[in-house]
Amino acid sequence: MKKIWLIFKYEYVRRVKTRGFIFAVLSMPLLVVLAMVMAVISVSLQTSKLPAGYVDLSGNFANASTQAAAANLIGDIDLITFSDVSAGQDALAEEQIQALFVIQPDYMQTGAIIAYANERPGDNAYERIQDFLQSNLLAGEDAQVRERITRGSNITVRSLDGSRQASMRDWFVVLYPFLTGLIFIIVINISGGYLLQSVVDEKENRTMEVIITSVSPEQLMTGKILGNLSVGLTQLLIWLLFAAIGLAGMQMIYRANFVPSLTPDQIALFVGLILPGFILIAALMTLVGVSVTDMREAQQVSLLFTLPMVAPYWFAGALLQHPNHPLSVIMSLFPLTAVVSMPMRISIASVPLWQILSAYVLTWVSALAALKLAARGFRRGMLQYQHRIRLNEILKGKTHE
Amino acid sequence: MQVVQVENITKSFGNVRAVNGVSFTVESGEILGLIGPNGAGKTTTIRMLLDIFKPDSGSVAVLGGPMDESKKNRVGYLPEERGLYQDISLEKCLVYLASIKGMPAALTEERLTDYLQRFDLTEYRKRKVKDLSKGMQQKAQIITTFIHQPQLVIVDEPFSALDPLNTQMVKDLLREERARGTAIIMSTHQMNQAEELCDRILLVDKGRIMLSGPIDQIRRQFARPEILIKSSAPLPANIPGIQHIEIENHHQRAFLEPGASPQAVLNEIIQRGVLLDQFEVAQPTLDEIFIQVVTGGGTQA
Repeated sequence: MKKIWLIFKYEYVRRVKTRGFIFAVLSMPLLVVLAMVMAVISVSLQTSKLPAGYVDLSGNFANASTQAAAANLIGDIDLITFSDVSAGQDALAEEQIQALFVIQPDYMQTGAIIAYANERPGDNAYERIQDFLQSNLLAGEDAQVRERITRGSNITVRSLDGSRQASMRDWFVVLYPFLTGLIFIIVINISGGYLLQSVVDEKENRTMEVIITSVSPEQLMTGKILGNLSVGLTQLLIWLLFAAIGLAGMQMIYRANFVPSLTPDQIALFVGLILPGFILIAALMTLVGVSVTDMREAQQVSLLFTLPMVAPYWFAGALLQHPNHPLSVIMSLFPLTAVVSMPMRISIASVPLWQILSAYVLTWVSALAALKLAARGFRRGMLQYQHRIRLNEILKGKTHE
Repeated sequence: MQVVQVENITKSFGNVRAVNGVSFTVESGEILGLIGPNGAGKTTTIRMLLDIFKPDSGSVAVLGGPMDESKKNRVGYLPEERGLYQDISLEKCLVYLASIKGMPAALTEERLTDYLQRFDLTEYRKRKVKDLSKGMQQKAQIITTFIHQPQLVIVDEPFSALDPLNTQMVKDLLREERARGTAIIMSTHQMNQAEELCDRILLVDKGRIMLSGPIDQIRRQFARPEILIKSSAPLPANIPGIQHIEIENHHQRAFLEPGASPQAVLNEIIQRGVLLDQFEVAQPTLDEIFIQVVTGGGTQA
């Protein structure tokens, strides 16, 4: 165990200390912050701090309150009442207001409003007049009714057998399966790339021959897989940490619940599919690394299993439209596609328990078989510098061990 | 104490038999030279000793039994091809390789400082390995082989890329280790180095042992009826026992008649008043023996 730890530590530290890793880790949060800053700038450019004005020709809002019912997220503005259209237009001409909304006499029948503006009014002007109309039309109603109509309904989708349900407002429940698939792809691409590089480099620079006189090939392989997988997970954790900080910040500002919590089903999905998925791909990457002669060839060969991994996204339309179609079922059972397909299906359909359990079992069995094959391939291919090792050589390679 | 005991090992790759019935032993405090042409089976034999390959048949005992993980810390290996991490500093590389040999950090630091000083690498300690010359990398590789003071050391072409000064340093190190009781197997193509350092040699060709034993014994076994003579004047003709004489660069080579005694020839030359600078019974060099054996003129051990 100590030697596995030493290899793990070496692999991990050498990767996380590289400029490439630090850049990759920081680039995502920086991009998010940059995108947010750009969004804020864009919104601020599209909004005006000038008040909005209105003229009520319908007579329904004669004694209406112009106080805003709710805080506007993109900037509060005042709403000014004008007695007639020309007074409002004068104020608009003198740029005292950004827009003049004229509520038409037949508003209650048609909802007609004419807006006057020198240039396109900001979104806050539209939201302000909408808020004014809604709150005043509902002024005579009970507070609970006002609240319900303003905030809308909370629809929960539930399967017939009651095995699954999701609230339209619980965004995390809906997004979790997609997020897990996406996270899997990101982490395995980062870790797998590092792992492949590590194995090919050691084979190319002949370090492997020295290392295996100190540790067993299995110890070397395990340390490498764990070390490089941890690099990808570290990157992911840092991103998630930034995301959590961002969500917590949004929660404080908007007083709404943005921070999700994990359910046992979601944890089962991680342990049953994502974890063996990592092991499966890592073992296959190792196998490729020791079987080929250089990095270019390694990258080409590794496409054989990285492409199936992302294939469910190509068929996302079909999977989401027909989650119980035989193709969807097959993709959610086949180990290389199950990690992404099964969560997709679970998010929108009631998947039979036997299929979920089968996917778990098949992925775990494949992962363990791939590990065993990788260990054998590692012994067989680690000192083969001149030619690529074929799969049948690994399968029949006992005489070389 | 017997450190290595190899009995009748064979190893095939597909239809090619790389090693065929090889047996030998190595004692502590001994340097065994493993020599042979390219593709003779030396590296395969070494890899079987190190448990990288398993023999198809026969047995390998290292440090008292089959090679296992617990014994790896007591073995040092210098492969023919350099095997160092290129993108990290020399210090980091050597510390890591020592750590997986089970060396405590403090002891590694202490020995590393000594070794770097001994091999004139102290000032390159923080340099990336890829920035070092081939010779420096070879010395670094030698440090990784010996830093944990192994009981068995296997070195494959230890002098490659080294200049005469560094070659001497490595020879001194090998002799010191032998004196400390380390069993050393040295695989090399440089016969003069083998001749100088090895107590015994094992000449393999086509997977078989062609010749083995102490070097002096082997040279006597291959000794020819020839005498090398260096004298102030050419030798007189008709010396009894001498068939004919050939003049070479710095000496004369006298070919003896069958059954003639070198001692009798020497007495005759002295009696004839020739002043001698050198009189030597010509023994073949290891190079000559190697060529003779490999080209089919030798005997199998």
